[in-house]
This record gives sequence, C-alpha cells and structure tokens, in this order.
Amino acid sequence: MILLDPAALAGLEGLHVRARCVVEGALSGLHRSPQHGQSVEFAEHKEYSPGDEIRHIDWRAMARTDRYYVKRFEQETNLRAYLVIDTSKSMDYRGAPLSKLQYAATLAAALASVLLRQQDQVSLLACGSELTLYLPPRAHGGHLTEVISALEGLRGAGDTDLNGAATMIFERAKRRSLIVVFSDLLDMRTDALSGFCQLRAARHDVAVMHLLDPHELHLPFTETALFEGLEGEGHEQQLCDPEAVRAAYLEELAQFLGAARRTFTDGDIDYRQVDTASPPAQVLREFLSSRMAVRSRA
Amino acid sequence: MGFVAPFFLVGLAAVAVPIAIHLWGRSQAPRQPLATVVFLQRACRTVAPHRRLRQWLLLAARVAAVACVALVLAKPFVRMQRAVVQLGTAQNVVLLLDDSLSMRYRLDGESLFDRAKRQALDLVDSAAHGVRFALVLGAGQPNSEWTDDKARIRSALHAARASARAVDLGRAIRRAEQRVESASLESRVIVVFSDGSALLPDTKEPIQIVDVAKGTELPNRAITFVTLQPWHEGGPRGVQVLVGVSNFSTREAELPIALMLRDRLGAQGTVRVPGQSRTVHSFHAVLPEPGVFAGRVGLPEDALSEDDVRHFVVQGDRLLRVLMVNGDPRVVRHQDETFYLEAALNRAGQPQFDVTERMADAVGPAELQAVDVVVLCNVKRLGATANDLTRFVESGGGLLITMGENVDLAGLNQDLAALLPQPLASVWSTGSHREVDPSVARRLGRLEIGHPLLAPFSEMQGASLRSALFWKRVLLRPGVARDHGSVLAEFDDGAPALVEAKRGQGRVLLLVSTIDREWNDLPIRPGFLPLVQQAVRYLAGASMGEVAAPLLVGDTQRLVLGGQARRARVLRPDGKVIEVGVSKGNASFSDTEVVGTYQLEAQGEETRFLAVPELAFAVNVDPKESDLKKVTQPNQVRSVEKKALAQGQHREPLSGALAAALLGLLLAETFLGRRR
Repeated sequence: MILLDPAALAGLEGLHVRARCVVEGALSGLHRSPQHGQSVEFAEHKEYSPGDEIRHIDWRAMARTDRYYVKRFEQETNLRAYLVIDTSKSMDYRGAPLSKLQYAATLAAALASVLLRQQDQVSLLACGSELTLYLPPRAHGGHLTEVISALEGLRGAGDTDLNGAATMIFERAKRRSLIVVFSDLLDMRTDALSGFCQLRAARHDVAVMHLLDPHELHLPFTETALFEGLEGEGHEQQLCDPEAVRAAYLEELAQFLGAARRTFTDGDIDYRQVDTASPPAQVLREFLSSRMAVRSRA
Repeated sequence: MGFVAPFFLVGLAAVAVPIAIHLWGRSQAPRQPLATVVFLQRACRTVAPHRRLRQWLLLAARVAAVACVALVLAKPFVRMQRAVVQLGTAQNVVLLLDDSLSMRYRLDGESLFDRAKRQALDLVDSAAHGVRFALVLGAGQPNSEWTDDKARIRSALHAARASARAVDLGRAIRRAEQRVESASLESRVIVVFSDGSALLPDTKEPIQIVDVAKGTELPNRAITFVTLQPWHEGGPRGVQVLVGVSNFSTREAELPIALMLRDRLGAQGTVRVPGQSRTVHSFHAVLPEPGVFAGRVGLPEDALSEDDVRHFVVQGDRLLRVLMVNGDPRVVRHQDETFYLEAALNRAGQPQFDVTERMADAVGPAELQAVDVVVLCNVKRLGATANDLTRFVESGGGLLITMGENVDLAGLNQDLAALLPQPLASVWSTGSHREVDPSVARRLGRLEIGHPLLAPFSEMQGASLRSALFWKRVLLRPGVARDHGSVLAEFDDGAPALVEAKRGQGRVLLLVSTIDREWNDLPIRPGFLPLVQQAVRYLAGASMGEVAAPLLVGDTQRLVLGGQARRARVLRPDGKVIEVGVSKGNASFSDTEVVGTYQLEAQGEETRFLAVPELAFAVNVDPKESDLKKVTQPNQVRSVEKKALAQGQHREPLSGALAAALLGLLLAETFLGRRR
C-alpha cells in the first residue's frame, strides 16, 4: 500500500477522503497484535450484527439462547479518546503542501476514524487562545462525519493556550482516557502544558504530536527578508539574511525541541516530533504501533 | 592636488548609489511569515555584532570603490616642489654649491644653503645607477672626489656648511670645469645650486642652474660700512661713527640702530632708509678712557642676520703714520709739492697724523714698514721701489697717487701696473698758466657721497670741493674689467677725478691732478683739508684711529709683533684660541672664518702670554653678499635650465595609486560580500 505524501494528500479533495487514505495506509502495515482482544477481560455480550468479528461469537450463549452474541472486552468498550487541536495562528503556517493545521486535522481525522471503527468514543476539542470547539465523546457511526466536518471548519487564529482544553477534559473524563494533542507548541507559556501533565498524573494516557513545518525545521530561505511572526502582540519581525544566521537558528530550535522533549518525557507523556512534510499515514502507523506495543506490555 | 580632467569629479555623486541601495534594500526586503521568528531573533542577536561590522565594511568598500573610479577618471596629480634638473645622458655630474654668505639667508624657516643641499640630495637620489658625482663648494673647501657611490656623495652633502665668505662663483665654476674636463662633453654637466644673485662667467661647459629661492625676491638690509673720525667737540677721545646702512628691498625701512663699545651701549638711534638705497647714519660718542676699544654697530636681525652687525676696533689716541714721497722738492716752502698736504695733516692742536717725508729714491722696505699710508706727490717714476710699494699695499697699506708736471705717465703705468686703478692716458690742459679763465677750467661734478671716504662730507664741504678749479689734469684709460677701479669723484664733463681700487688687503687712491696749486686751486678750498685727512684715514683702513683695517671673512691679518715676541696666539670671537707661528717678530693669521673682534696675546721674555690690545682686529662679512638681487645669467645657459631658474613644478600623477586602491577595494568587496 502506497503511503501518500502530504503533497499527494493535498491534492485530494476533502478531509474525509484524505483521512481514509491515511487510515488505509497506516493500517495496511500495521500488524495486529496476537493478543488483540484475547487477554483482556470479558465485559459484556452484544447481539451479533454484520461486520462483527466471527471469532468473538459466544457459542455457549448461542447454545443457551439460540441467538448469536459476540463478546465485548474491557478495552474495546471503554476507550475514550480526546483529540485536542491547537488552532492558534501559527498552526496556519504552510511551508509544506499542508499547513500544520491541515496536517493536524488530517491526522486527527484519520485517528478518529480508526478509533471510531473500533467502537471507541472520540471527542474533539479545538483551542487557540481559548477553547473554540468541543465535541463530546461519541462512538456512533455518524460521529466521524461530525468530527471531520468540525475539523474542516477549523481556522488558525490567536495565540496558543491549551490549558482550557486540559481543564475541560479534566472535568469530563471520569475514567482513563486517551488524550492526543496536536500542536506546534510555539508561543506557549511555560505552564501551558501543566494541565496535560496533571491529566497524565491522573492516569490518563497523554500523547503530544509536536507538529513543525519543514520551513521551521530547516530554515531553507536564501534571500534576505523581513521575517514576521504569526502570533504575539504586534507580531515580531526580524530582518536578516537567513544564510548567515541558519546555524545559530537551528541551534536555538534544537534547544527548544530538546527542552520540550525533556518536559514531556519527564512527565511520562508520549511525545512525538512530526515533520509536516512526512506522510501522515506513516506518523499514524508509528503512533498506533506504539500504542499496541504499550497495550501488549500492559 | 590638481586634476587633469576635473569634469569627471561629478561622478563622485555616484557614491550615493551604494548608500541608497543599502537603505532601499532594507525597506524593500520581502516579507516572509514564519512562526518560529522568535528563534530567528535570538539567532540574530548572537551573530549581529559580526554581521553589522561586516555590513558596514562592505558598504564602505563599495562607496570607496565608486569614489576611486571617479577620481581615476579625473586623473589627479600633486605638484612636487623639486628642482627640475635634466641630467639627460650625463654620466659625470659636478654639484656646485654656492656656500657664500648670501646662502645663509633664511626663507620660510630654512636657509638657502640647506635648501640647496636638500635639492642636491634629491638629484642624487633620482639619478640613474652608475652616474658619477663630485661636489664642489663655492668657497673652495672641501671638495669631494668623483664617486658613483650615492651614500658617499650624500655624506659629503650632509657635511657641507655655508660659510660667511663672499664667494667668487666664477672661480668655483672654473674649478668645477677642471673636474669634468676629462669627461666627454656629452656626458658631463655642472649643476649649480645658488640664490641667483651671482653673475656666472661665460663658459663652454654645459651648466644647469638651480635657483634655490625659486625666483623669490629676497629683501635684505645690511650695514655695509663703518668709518670713524675725530669728533672734536667731544674732546681728544671724541669719535664720530659713520654707519652705512643699505636697504636692498623695495620698501622703505625705519630701523633702530645701536652703537656698542666694549659690549656697553654707547649710543642708539633710528635710521630711515628708502627702498633700494643707502643711508649714512652718524653716531657721536666719547671713549671713556684711552686705549683700544672693540665696538660694533647693529641693526635688528633679519633673514640674513650676519650683515646686520659690523665690528670695529678703535684706539682713541693713535696716530696714523703717513709717508709723503716728494717728487718735486722746492727751496721755497710754499712752492714745495708737499706744502699744502703737510699743512692739512699737521693741523695744530689736533695731532692725528705722524707725517714724514722722503724722496722717491730714499723709500725702502724699512720706511714702508713704519707707516700706514704713502702719498706719491708728483713722482716721476719709482724704479725698484715699485715692487716694495706693491707689496706694501697688498699687505694692507694705503697709497695716494697724485699727479704733476714731473710724472712720467708711461713710466708710472709700467711701475705701478699692479696698483693703478686705471692706466694714465694723457694730460689735459686748458692752458699753460695757473691763472686761467674759470669758464674754461673744469670743476668737480658728481661726488660719491655714499662712499666711506666722502660720507663725512657735509653739504657745505661738498659744495666747497665743487667750487675748486682744475685747469690741468690727467685723463685715464679704461682698465681691465677685473681690476677696474671705482670712481669716487668726476669732473663736470664726466672724466674721473678721484678713483679708488682695492689691491690685496690695501687700497689705492688716484687723484688725476696735483696735491698742490700747480694744476688746480683745490688746496685753498675749505674742502681740501677734510678731503686729505679723510683720504688718509680711509687708506689707513679706517678712519680715526682704527687700529687696523677691518678684515673680511677669509682675509689674512698681518701681525707686526716686534722682535721681542717669541710666541703669539689669537683669541677668536667664538672663544677658540689658535697659536700662530712667529718669525722675526711677524706673524700672519688666516683663520678668520668667524665674524667679530679678534684679540692677540704674545709671549716674550716672560713665561706668560700678555694681551696686545693694539694688535686687535675686527673681521666682518663682505657687504657685496648683502645684495641678493637676481641677476641675468649668460646666454650659454640652456633654455631648459632657464626654466629651472623659475623652479618649475613637477606633476606626480596619482592615477596609478588610485587604480591599485580600486583593485584592492573590489577584492575586499568580493571577500566581504561572499556568503559563508
């Protein structure tokens, strides 16, 4: 299965289509865990409907009741995922074929598709300088459409402050949930992610997708220009020759990324640095693989 | 600095282009959104200092390069103030430096001689390898040998010093000619560094003249003579000091003047001298005691300070010794040839002259040694005495020659050929009798009042001289230019009446008529007495009782010490003591390079040196060196050299240096503008 790169994905019309391509690309290479659904606790029966796993049919229950029931296990039924999208202005930056926000939306839509396919509940939150969108966790079939529709309508604006989303989740999530944050982590206050660290401390599973545009990662510009920031009051400006300062810039960026990695690692948060020039399917595959590996260890 | 094509300087306005580009570039930089601009700012702060300096250097290099282009196109040059001397194919170059007194003239803080040395050094430095040089100094010493070693000739030039002498530049050129005569005409040249005030002789040698003063007028004032005579109103030690002050500039000068006697102020005053003229100033002073006094008269120092002072040595009670040689003795006293002369010199109550009389054949070396002045009165011929008389005059004695019926013109021309100011030609007469029609007789016309001999004459005395009638006189033939005398008095028809000449260290006066009343009535005129006395004083070397004739720098002083003297030494004005050799009571001293008063000490039977004040003498500069007026040089000087007289300016182009600078700036711009 070919992994579509962002350029190819950008040419696809509609997030729904892009998400499906990403999912198919991700899952095609993904090895099912041999322990998938076998070592977890039995939670309840569900009447068989087309599409359910045949192997999960509880034949004893069928013998007793002469009706087909499938077993549902603890993790299949209790996963609730909160997808937090950073919708600050800086997420609108487009250096690659997809802006960081589009990339985040594509990735989030693909992940939501995978989760909903597994009958998991998915919630969507969008947060810039404040919480601008909240979709409660749902697992029904039409929820994906709602999620995708909401993702398509996201626009970057304002500064970055994700604590509002963290607070919302903290209040609503009564049981262990998966929280995935899609952000570039720029212009964030030092305590901006403390809420997510608290969520992790509350035994939620937190993952951060640190999205960075290739322009931001490599500073490929060659001509002297007036570089303008996208966030902050008055928008910071700097006239310079990028050739002359590239080395010093990359050093500063490396320090920032290293600090972010240390912060999240110390907080036992799954931190992933994502280049928006890389295929989203690969990113999703790697994320799902790691999730499965974590589950199998557990 | 100047420019050959100044129009291209308009291009300097183009330096605004790189500046404008720099400023406009900043404002026209494209805007580029970037979320991580905060990291860019931190990075810029790290590299900013180096970048800023590099940017400024780059801008400066570009601005300078644009300016260089405009300047190179404008062809700039600087004018080099060097002597323009064309050596051409010359391989043997004699450098002749005029080291006379006039070259000590200070112009713009530097003496002309130092300028001459500097320009000669420039010439040596600029000469091609292998050119030979020799150095000749105008005063004669020292001269260097031929050398192609530039270091040696430079050393000789650095060691040269200007003298206080008057230099005969013509003789110096002849010495220079002797140095080059072995070289071929095409390969030799004489380069003369001078102030342009000396007339050069005709010569076939290729000569180039460098006027170190660059044609600048050199105004100067000087004391040209000092003469003393008795001031009767002041008593036996009363002295009148007559000072000749010359102004060689075009503007009138009013100057303070002071008389010093034994370093004490004797008198002072103010003298006003019109431009390009001479004035005689008179002092009256009384010598405080008998004896010898060293004195000097001085003006404020100007650019040539050595001629602003004149020294003298005076003895208030000294008698001048006069020998009258009587060529026509008479029994009747008043008819005697020397009657009126003796009367004028032996004026009662004012003994100033010790007068003796001899016949011509009774005059010998012994007689001449004992006198200061000899007067030949109507002497036919001298015979063997002529040689003694010549030596007497050349060693400092004075000679007055008067005419008369007995004089053998041709014989005297032969006997006194070395002494006569001009040869005797023929006798002119209005008639044969002493009484003659005044309208036919000749009178004196022009009198050289500015001359030291006639300077003391008042207007009335001058008029008295002019009133004298001359009915017989000797006409003179023109003499050789070098030996030609100077006319102190003329007749009203222009013929010379009284002629002076300097011979060696002595002087000769020729009166073309008689000293008695045979050919004229001058002896009965009031001006006769002062004329005769002043003439004798003048011939004795000065006036009233100057101990000895003041010498000029470089002259030799004859010292008559007497038979008792065994050793003698001279104390120079600069304090140096020089022992002189004594032979039979006589000595001579020639180390007279320093201006001032020289004292003598002698040692006889006693063991210590004793001062001999009456043998003190003064040394002064030659007043000829005080006139620095430019003279026209002979025609054989080449036209190129005549341009050099005006000190042409040499243009040194700067385009090459600017082009090299432009290349350097472009390389720097390339280096600074490259991207790392």
